[in-house]
Amino acid sequence: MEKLQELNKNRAGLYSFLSRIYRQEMDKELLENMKSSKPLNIDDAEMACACNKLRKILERGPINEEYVENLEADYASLFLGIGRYPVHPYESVYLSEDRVIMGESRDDVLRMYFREGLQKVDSFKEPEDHIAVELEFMAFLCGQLQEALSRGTKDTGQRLIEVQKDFFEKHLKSWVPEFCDDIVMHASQYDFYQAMANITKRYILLEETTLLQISEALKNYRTALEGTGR
Amino acid sequence: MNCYAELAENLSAGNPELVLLERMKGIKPPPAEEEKDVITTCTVDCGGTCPLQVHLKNGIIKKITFYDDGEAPPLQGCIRGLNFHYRVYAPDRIKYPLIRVGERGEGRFKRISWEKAISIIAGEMKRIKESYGPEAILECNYSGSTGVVLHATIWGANYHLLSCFGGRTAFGTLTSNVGASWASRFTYGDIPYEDANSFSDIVNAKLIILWGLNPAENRFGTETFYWLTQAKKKGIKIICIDPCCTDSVRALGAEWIPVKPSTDTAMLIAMAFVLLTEDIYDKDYAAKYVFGLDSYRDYVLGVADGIPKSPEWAAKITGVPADIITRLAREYASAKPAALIQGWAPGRTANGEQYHRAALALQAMTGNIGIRGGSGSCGGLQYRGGKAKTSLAKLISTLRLKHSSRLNYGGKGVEIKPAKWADAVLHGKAGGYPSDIKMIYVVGHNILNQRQNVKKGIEAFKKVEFAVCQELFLTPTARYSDIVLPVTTNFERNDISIPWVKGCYAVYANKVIDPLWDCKSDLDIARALARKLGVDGFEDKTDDELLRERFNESQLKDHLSYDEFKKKGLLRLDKEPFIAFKERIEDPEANPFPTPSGKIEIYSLGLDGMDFNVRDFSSVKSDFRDIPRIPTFLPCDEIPASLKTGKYPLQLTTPHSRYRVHSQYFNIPRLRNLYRHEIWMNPDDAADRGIKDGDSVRVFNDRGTIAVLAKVTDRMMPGVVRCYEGAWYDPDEEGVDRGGCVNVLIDDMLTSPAGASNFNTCMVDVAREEKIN
Repeated sequence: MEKLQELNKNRAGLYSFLSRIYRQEMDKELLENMKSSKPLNIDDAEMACACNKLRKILERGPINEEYVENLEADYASLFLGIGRYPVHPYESVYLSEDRVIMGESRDDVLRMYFREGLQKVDSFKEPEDHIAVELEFMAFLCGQLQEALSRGTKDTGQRLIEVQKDFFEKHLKSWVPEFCDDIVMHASQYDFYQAMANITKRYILLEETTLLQISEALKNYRTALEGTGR
Repeated sequence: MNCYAELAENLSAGNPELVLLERMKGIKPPPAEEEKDVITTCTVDCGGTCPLQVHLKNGIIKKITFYDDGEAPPLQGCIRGLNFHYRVYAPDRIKYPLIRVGERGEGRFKRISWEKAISIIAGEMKRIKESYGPEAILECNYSGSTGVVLHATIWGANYHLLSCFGGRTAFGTLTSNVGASWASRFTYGDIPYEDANSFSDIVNAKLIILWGLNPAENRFGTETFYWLTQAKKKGIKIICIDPCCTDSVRALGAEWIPVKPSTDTAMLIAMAFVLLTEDIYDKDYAAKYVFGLDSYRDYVLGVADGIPKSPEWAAKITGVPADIITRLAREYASAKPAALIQGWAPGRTANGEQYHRAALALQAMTGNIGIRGGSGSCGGLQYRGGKAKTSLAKLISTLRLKHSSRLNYGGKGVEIKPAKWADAVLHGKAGGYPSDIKMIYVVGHNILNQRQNVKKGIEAFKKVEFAVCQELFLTPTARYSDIVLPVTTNFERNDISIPWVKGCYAVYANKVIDPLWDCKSDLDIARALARKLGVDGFEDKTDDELLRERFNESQLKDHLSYDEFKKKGLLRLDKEPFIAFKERIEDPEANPFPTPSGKIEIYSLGLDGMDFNVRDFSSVKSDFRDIPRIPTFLPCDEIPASLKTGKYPLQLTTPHSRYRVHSQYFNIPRLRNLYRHEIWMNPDDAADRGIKDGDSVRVFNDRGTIAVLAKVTDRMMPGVVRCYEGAWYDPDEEGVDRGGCVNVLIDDMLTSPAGASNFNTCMVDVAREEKIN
């Protein structure tokens, strides 16, 4: 169970990190942090490759004002719709026929946030189905699950994993991989975000299995608990 | 799952916490499912103002439909208005203030805060004013949002602010209608109302001539085509004069008389020749109401220059056989009342005002002005009002009063002709312009794309020290700016809108949704800038207060209250056909025309009597002294009879597309996917060049090259090609415009002294793309 708590803590951290990447432009501090992290030794070859590529990109130059400004412009080109091939960070754009914002997807995530007692802050002037909000919602759910597990509230845990699975299936999985593909395809000159897109896509794919495993683990735990008559 | 721990350690942005989401305070009920309809309009530059019914669900626009109030004529919106929400919800809108990072035109920007953006702009404005004087700021405000009271981009908040700031170089004329309005002013005098009968009167004509007007495609008023179809049902003969067999020709079953672009004036003058030589003009009417026919007769018959302006003379210039010109003149003279509706397109030519003057002369000679079923002009814009229409004219004038910083209303600065903006930037005072321009301030104007000679425009942008652009999208113009500010669509703000080409009604342009992203209205931007610049008291009332105030100053309040109007959305004002100049024709003694002669002036005494030195007449107007006093055919360098034709033998026309309003909507996939951007050409011209329908071709001249697809069709007369204006400039590495922006090809220096813009006077050639490569 502790392992499961730890896992969800890490998931919350990773979703939160990815949310930050797409939420706004990079700043020097975050870039420095990322640069100073140690080389990865993980068993997922694809993820390892993507992360190492990112490391190389960060190592390439001194992270100075110019470096940051360049990334700011990359961010605007890609995610603020300014470049020749913008990659719009809205689920509605990906799932509506006419590729516009404020589609059914946005209504649906709004409802799901509401059910968890959440709403988007006004200061973030983007629709609710912006990728950063969706990722943050997932981070929130992971954190909630971790907390529930730490308190031993198994029913809440079961409900929370179902909400996660539901949100993941209906939303993140339905468009984020394609969104990442678009960044990779159209953004060869924006290598930082290309690397981030590779990491994001791989993470979403890993999550598909992880979510099932957690769900299964929780079910087994519950059955085990019931078996002992507790 | 193994890798998560290590990943999380490496990819971390600190403690996971809620940044974008927050816990709701207290327990709230789930959001209610709410459906609502709002009546509004689109305030783009088509002149239409069609009432639209916007259907919302939970605050999101789901659909837009025609608003039907059950009355006739139906005021049906078009494909653009019905798809307006695809523009509002377009993901590529400018969302936050941007500052340029790369070279001008490179298209690299980064986001900055409003505070920083306003501070930079104010700082540059002050610096430039102090270093060079306020006229160093070129104000390029135009028709992004138009026909409205509060949020017009043309003569709007920024226009007013720059005048309050100390002055600027502004545009002294409009664009599309300048030939028409100039001709009207110097034929009828400074009339306080519309110079044409309303379109509902067209059913009273015995013959309708649509000269260079294609309302089946470009509408020219929401109800215009409705009345033409009523006329068709009544069996009234309709003739269309146009280089292209337009959709109007087909839909109305009209007779098509093809004429070469930029030569309509010659054809009209030759028709006057037939009227005079065959003595079939209305002599009583002419004696009573018309001034200057004798001078005109001398010119037409060739007394003055030895050249009789006969149908044979005109045939060589216009490509219209002499017998057809003669027959048309006879037909027009004998069918009374007859409505000669002069479209603006033939006036969008070099010396375009002469076409309008010649058309008015013909209408005066046949006695068709001021009568039921006659015409007068094409109408529109500033000439609104009259007895029944005073409300609209007054509304416009009262509403504009506070924003009116035009020079002749006491505004500060100097004026240039908009077509020559780039030349003015490049050559300044040394080139005879009134100022040396160092900064460009653009509001609602894709000036690089929509003014003549794109490449020269780019040079101008590269030359200035600072450029700002307030836009919805990263247009080619915004691309060349240093700061780009995100603005709202009219669906995100309240306004009152009035059709400015045809129709007599007002629409409350209701706000449908809150502003998206970090977008602000142009008015709010001007307010913020005014505070930073220290311009005190600048429009410091709220939008609602201003709208109420202006509504209550207008005569709209005689019909209903502000709140009723806001709720009702549509107010129809004038249901009876309006007959322009009726009272002047019925009682000329009591109501003379406001011209020096008191008559309709074929010879313009008004022009003769102008004092070109008074302050009111800026450099723009001092050019008037060179304009002939009678309607005259003036050849220019870019028509087939001229020098350059050996090199570029085809005449280009650049009409308005039904899918766009100028360059607006070009980037909306929903509409863009409905058509191919093409150049229309006659099968003979295509065969000469080995071009087949659908081929990729290049259209070129000395000014540049665009790449488009070929549409080979006998709907085009030989020697003339046609490509819709408004496509976005998008050059490749070679400098070939892959976007197909026609203004790459058009000369900026051919604009006439009156200011008639020459968008339909241009010589080009066309070649298959692979032949060039």
